[in-house]
Amino acid sequence: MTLTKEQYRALAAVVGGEHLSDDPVDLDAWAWRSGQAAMAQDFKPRFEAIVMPACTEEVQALVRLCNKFGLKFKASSTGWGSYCDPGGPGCIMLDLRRMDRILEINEENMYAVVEPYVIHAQLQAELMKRGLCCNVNGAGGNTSALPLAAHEGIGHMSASCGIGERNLLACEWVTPAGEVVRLGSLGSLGEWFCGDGPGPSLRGVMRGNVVPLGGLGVYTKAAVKVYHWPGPPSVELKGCSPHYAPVKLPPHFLLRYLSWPAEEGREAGIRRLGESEICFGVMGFNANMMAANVATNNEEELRLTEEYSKQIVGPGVCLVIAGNSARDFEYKRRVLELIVQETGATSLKAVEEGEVHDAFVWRFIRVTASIRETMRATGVFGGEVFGTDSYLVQSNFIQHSRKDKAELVARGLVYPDNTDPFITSLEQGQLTHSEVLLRWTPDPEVAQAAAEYVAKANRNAVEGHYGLPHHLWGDPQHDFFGPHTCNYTHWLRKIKKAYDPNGVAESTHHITAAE
Amino acid sequence: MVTAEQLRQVVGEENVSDDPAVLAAYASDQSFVSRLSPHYVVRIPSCDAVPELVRLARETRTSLVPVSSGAPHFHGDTVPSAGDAIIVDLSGLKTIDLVDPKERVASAVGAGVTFGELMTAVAEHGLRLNLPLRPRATKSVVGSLLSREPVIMPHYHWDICDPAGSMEVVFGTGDLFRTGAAAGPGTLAEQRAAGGRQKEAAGPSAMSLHRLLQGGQGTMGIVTWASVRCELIPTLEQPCFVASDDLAKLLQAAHWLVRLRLGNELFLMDRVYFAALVAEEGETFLQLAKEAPSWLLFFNLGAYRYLPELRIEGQSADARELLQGLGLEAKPSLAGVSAWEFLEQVRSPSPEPYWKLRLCGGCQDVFFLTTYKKLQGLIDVMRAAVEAAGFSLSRLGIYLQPIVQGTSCHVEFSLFYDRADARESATVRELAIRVIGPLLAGGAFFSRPFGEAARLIMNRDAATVEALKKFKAIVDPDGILNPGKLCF
Ligand SMILES: Cc1cc2nc3c(=O)[nH]c(=O)nc-3n(C[C@H](O)[C@H](O)[C@H](O)COP(=O)(O)OP(=O)(O)OC[C@H]3O[C@@H](n4cnc5c(N)ncnc54)[C@H](O)[C@@H]3O)c2cc1C
Repeated sequence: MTLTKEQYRALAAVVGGEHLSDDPVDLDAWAWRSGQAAMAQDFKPRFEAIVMPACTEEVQALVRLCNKFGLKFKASSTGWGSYCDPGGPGCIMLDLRRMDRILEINEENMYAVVEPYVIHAQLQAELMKRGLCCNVNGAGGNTSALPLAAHEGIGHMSASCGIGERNLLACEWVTPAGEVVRLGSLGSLGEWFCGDGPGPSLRGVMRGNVVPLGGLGVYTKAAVKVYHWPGPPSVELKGCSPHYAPVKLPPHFLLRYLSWPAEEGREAGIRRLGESEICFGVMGFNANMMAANVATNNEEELRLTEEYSKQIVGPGVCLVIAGNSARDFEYKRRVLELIVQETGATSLKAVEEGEVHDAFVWRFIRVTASIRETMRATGVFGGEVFGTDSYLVQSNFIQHSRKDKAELVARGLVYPDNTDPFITSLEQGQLTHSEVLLRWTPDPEVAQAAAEYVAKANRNAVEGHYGLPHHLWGDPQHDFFGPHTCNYTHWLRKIKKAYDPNGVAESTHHITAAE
Repeated sequence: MVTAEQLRQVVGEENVSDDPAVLAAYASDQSFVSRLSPHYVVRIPSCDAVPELVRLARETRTSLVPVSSGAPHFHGDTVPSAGDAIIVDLSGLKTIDLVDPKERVASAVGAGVTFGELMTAVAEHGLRLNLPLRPRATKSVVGSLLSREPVIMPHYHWDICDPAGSMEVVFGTGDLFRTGAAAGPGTLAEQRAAGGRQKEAAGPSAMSLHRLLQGGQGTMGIVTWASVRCELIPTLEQPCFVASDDLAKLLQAAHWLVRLRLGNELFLMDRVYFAALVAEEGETFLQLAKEAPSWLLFFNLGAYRYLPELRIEGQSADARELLQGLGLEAKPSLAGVSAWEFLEQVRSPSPEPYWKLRLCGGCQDVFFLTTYKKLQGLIDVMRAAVEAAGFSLSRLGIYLQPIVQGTSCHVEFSLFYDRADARESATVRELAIRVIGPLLAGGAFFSRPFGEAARLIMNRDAATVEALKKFKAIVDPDGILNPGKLCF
């Protein structure tokens, strides 16, 4: 299918000819996908056109045209996720890159209002100038700061800066039917401080612990909670990427990597860190992820992985402590020492001092190393993304995955990057999230094995009652879980149908209305 | 129309009542909503009875009004708006399934469990609740969560839905559903064996239906239990007052204390509210309401397992410096009330009679959310309206609760009035409605609209109403759940 002249003209009338293209060269560029759960060279189905609206009114007009013409649409913010791809023909891309303004930073009430193409790095930099900070998606500072774009919205600072679903305040939503709904105080007052009410909160329709991945309309603006930044307005760097570090690390920051001989140790450690509220950031890296953060190329990464593995005694966690004052820092530092002693943690000396330490702190806070951790080694990554409940259930679940991953490593299929899965603490230990990262060299056989690995994890989740993983994309996966999970698929589909009566919001990665 | 016999078959002989005295207790409340008697009151003996009851109501087109707390009720949401309604009294659901101190959660807390009951149960495990200020003794925890009531520790109030976890709900279709992590896979027992604690509120998947149950006033589903996020009991605490006639300064202090997480319990109030909260009898009330400083900020530093003295020492010094910069000072007592005594009062349920009714017999609240910037203007609007109505400013109490870690502020205007005085009641009734328009114009967001004002407020946002109605049609296609409330 290609667009008819009438369709093309109608779309162009909304955005202007220069912001619309159905040139095959452009379509191929947007169909190119590598990296996440894909082969290194992989063209997805083409969009029928790429459209770049500049504002909510244009988005609304485009969505209405899609309803009129029976076209599907898919929005993307920064396009980092593979879920921005269409599942087949008949779909246009609403690329929101022209909507790139930070609309407000409210220092007193601690929120920022962003459009979809504002990235975390940009927002964070502006916030730091005002003594504030935000949760940055673990996918990197390059991703959208809109708390409705990221698949989950979990990041390195989620221990102190929350997570996407819970950081969202008021927002603006162009429904698939082409209505503009302004949630909370925005709809009643034109202000952004609250997303809930009057009465029940539509936040619960728009997203859950994951977002609908384009399948429920377009989120055009949102307010996101921001947090205190205990550092200076900016930090001067020396060197040039990838060899850069702060000239001088601001006072009252400290990074440590702790490991324990067994999972019980990590559990005790992470729980205590949460209970004592001392961490600015917590990330359950393993030896290889630590090495990936420091190394600037693959050879160095291999060397450092080996070096760190000798000092890392088992499951571990990377953490950053930041003091709001000298006293606060001193207190946190001493509590950390006690937790290390009490739980018998081993600290990775190689990242504790000098430029390695300082550069690591800065990369951790700016979240610049995601690409190093996930794609540099092999070009392709995938794996499992679990839920967000108790530490215990996450920890129990990942034990299965550890075994299964070891098997893939033993078969020589995936990168032998240490099998310790990743576990992280959110909101000072109130919630826990876990993932397992797999990396492989592009090869259909391996891709198949990786898919089987995920299918096995899904079976484990059902049989072992470990909760609903977050990595469920599309009807088949949802339908596998639905009957075991209070038939949530029934309600998710009802929502889809109610707000998208013509099925125009492309839903390959979400759920379709078809029962 | 459903019959008593049909109801008895579902909930048992002894749990259905049409005794006029019992019905009368639900026909009105402390608010000014119109009196309407329910047809029956049905006490729910166990969660299992609810789906069948809802199916029966659906078949017979009978309205259901869920109620979890005991009287007195204040907002009119439990008074039927439609004739022939049935009160679904969930206050007998008293189970607390599991308390896990490591995961800091009370899992699957029955809708009838009161604050006093849950506080006692979790305290045995070293946990405590982030609760609303001095709730009434009969208040259900689940009921409070479902109303998104503000809580007194903004430090731990990450999201407006807190401290709610997963919930079990029976929709108006008769379908049972569990929100959040509790959805599954598996039964609760199976999930627990795997380590699950039904703590996560969000999900399953790309929806978070607890958010639609909260603020729904029973129109979206009947919630039988909810998990409750808990906090650790501090090993050391240091409560204090900061008093001033300059509210702007106190708000600045509150902003910084919340932002730097210096303090657990933290809120502000004027002297009338303070007096009403602490005075046991009229004389003391009058004296405090006149003599205490115009405004107070209360905050309480807390420390846990590790180096508690060091933490309190450091935080106390940091707080002192912060306050000094604003020309303020923290004090251990105020107008003869020690901060310790006050702390214990605000974080425990009120003895009977409920403190808001103790002095004058009646209390009408007007509450909303706003930003710090708009606060003073809104207070001026309210005071002007009170004066214009001829009501005494000395019985207007004001409570300011920073919520969601300081992203907005709950403002509560409490009009303490004599319910036995018909003229005064009429004045307050009119005042409480009349002031809504000017408050809206001044930047008040009525996130939780109740009673007579609800429609006025909902009508400001037609797109939200339309979107809510779409969801309502999914979960309650026949409109049997508390019809007449909000926009439904
Ligand atoms: C290397 C890598 C690491 C990752 N690590 C993490 C991690 O640590 N934590 C985490 O939470 N996630 C992680 N992810 C997933 C991540 O959330 C997304 O890739 C990323 O945040 C998406 O942001 P984006 O701005 O590029 O969104 P996009 O890729 O543009 O969009 C993501 C999805 O949301 C939809 N969407 C985007 N914008 C809108 C909008 N305005 N309105 C409606 N729908 C929209 C899109 O259709 C798409 O389905 C990772 C992904 C990668 C590739």
